[in-house]
Amino acid sequence: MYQYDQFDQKIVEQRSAEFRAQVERRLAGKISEAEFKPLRLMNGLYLQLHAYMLRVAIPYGVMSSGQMTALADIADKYDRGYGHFTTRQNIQYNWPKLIETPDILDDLARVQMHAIQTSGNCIRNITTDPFAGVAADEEVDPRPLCELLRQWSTLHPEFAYLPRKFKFAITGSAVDRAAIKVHDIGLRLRKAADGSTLVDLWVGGGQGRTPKVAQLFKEGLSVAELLPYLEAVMRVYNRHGRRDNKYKARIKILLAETGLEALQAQVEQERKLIDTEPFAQVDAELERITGNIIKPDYNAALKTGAAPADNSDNAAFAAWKRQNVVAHKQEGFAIAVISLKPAGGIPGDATSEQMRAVAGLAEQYSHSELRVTHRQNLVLPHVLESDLYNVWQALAEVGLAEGNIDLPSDIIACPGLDYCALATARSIPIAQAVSKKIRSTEIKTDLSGVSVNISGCINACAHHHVASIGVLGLNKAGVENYQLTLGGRNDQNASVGERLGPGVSGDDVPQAIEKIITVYTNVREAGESLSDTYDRVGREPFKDAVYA
Amino acid sequence: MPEVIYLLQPDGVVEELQAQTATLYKYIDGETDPATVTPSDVNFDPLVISFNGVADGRGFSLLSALRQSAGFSGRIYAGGLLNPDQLSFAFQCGFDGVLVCANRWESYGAECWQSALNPPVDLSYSQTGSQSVRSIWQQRHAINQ
Repeated sequence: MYQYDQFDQKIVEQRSAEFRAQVERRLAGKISEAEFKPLRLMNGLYLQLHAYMLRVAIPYGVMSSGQMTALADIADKYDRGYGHFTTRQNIQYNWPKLIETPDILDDLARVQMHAIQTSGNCIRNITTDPFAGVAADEEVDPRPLCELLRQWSTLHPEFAYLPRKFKFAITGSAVDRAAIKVHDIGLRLRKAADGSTLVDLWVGGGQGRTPKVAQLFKEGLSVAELLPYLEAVMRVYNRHGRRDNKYKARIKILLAETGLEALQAQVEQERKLIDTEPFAQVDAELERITGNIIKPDYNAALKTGAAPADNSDNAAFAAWKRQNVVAHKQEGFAIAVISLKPAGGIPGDATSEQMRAVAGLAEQYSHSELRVTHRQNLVLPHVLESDLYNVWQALAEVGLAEGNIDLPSDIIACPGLDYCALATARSIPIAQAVSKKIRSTEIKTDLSGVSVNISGCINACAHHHVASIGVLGLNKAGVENYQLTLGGRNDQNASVGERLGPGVSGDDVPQAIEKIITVYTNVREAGESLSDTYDRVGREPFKDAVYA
Repeated sequence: MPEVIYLLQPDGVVEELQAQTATLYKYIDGETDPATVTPSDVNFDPLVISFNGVADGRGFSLLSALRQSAGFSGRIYAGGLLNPDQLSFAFQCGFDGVLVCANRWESYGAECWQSALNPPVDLSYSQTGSQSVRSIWQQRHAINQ
């Protein structure tokens, strides 16, 4: 992973000191909550239903075992002994005290972490493929560009007060595991014939109350051309994005209202005026960043590692390995995904004890490196195949050996009405009930083509629009009501799910999902995901089953 | 060096303030579409880009347009509803100073405004407009040394 230099370190320390002074002014009554709000939001500090919530950045979902240990320590020292990993590959603490948040930022800065721009109308934490740099099918490692964009967007003076929040995602593989087409800007990195890296720019994707799939905006930019082009896109958006209605303020609305060609023309015109001098050193900077990303010595590990043990007679381990282990680009190694979705558990939550255990496993078995996925799970990216059994056993000791990655019980759920001030319905209890209900089914039947995402309001933080089964919690006349959508996708063929019919009660959601899955397993053809089946057979069979 | 200029006129009536200082400054609304800026609009020194709200960052991008597309090389100040915590961004973008109205001056206090001239975060990765501070990228690679 990327190692800070003195400048990176200094900027997080300065930012922490600045926030301490802002908090002191607030506590002394020198600024109002209205004045304090934009300042705290830029440091990831929300005021939720019951308490403040602090969102800590995990840039592009990569962290060290030492950083994970620090997160566990913060959970114990300042919170209630747990953290919640999010769809932007960050972590949230739900119970910090305002007066202690500067101390938390200081503790984070000591381990090269921060909470900068994890909220507010600015460029948010950049996300990427959780298997970046290690996936067997990867064309270009996106991490150096992720870091370059992290730096470019960090405290960017021109783009700190945008019309609305702005989200980037980057992938370097044909199979999109970063959901780039449902982001404000999605970048697809690929190799040109001469071996150089090219970037395709997708613009205007997003979820919320107006879900949109991004459109291909600019094809084949060189890396040197990318930052001036992004600067032009952001400048046009900053000037012309709507500020009269927060629900129409994202770039997807600007794109829809302006039209693709007209917006492309505006960006092109702006790009010609961009002063490229600040970007003159981008190639050198990218080279420096690449050099600062520590690469594991795979060969040395292979020489000292034991031969893979034959554990094929252990059915539980085999099931976990089949579902949670992914092919690594380096022979002899594997990517191990750690599920934070135990049946009946809270999706994305980890206790401090679990965080420390995972940090220890990363140190012992994964070159001290970890990832967070946008499905709210964790990853050990560099595990010797011969170590997988030991890893699995250690995970089982702390309740993290659920073998359900990419199965229906691998549910994305937002905090919902249990925590969130914007929520209109509970999502966590629904997710807990659904996972309990379907876990036994998915063990017996292959359901790897089914995803379930549950949002507690129209803002769609759990990405329900792009799940094969989406659940949206609403409040109808004081009663929680859950709309079901089918057929969504968040991969390279991204699509928005369609509403199945009238909403159902929270108690009925698990059974409705079970009925949908039954229809799917009865009518699917070989290799079809639920969304493929839905595209082929349409809504009626599912609707008939749910509303019979 | 950027400067913070204290205006004695009360704020709240922006038009009144601007009328009283019209001989000193040429005001351009932060919402202005750069495409509509005419040569006569920028035939004045100094210009003031007036921010209409602390959450409205259009003035930062308008500054870039006036510098880069309109080619204005004179002084440009930021005015209107900025707060002291935003001055580091304003200076890094290349504003030459900030005009602060009496109410806002008193609300935050003189010390707060003056200390904003030396903001706690004085680093920026990719500078967009300031010539006086070198970006981190420039410092790392010793550009312009």
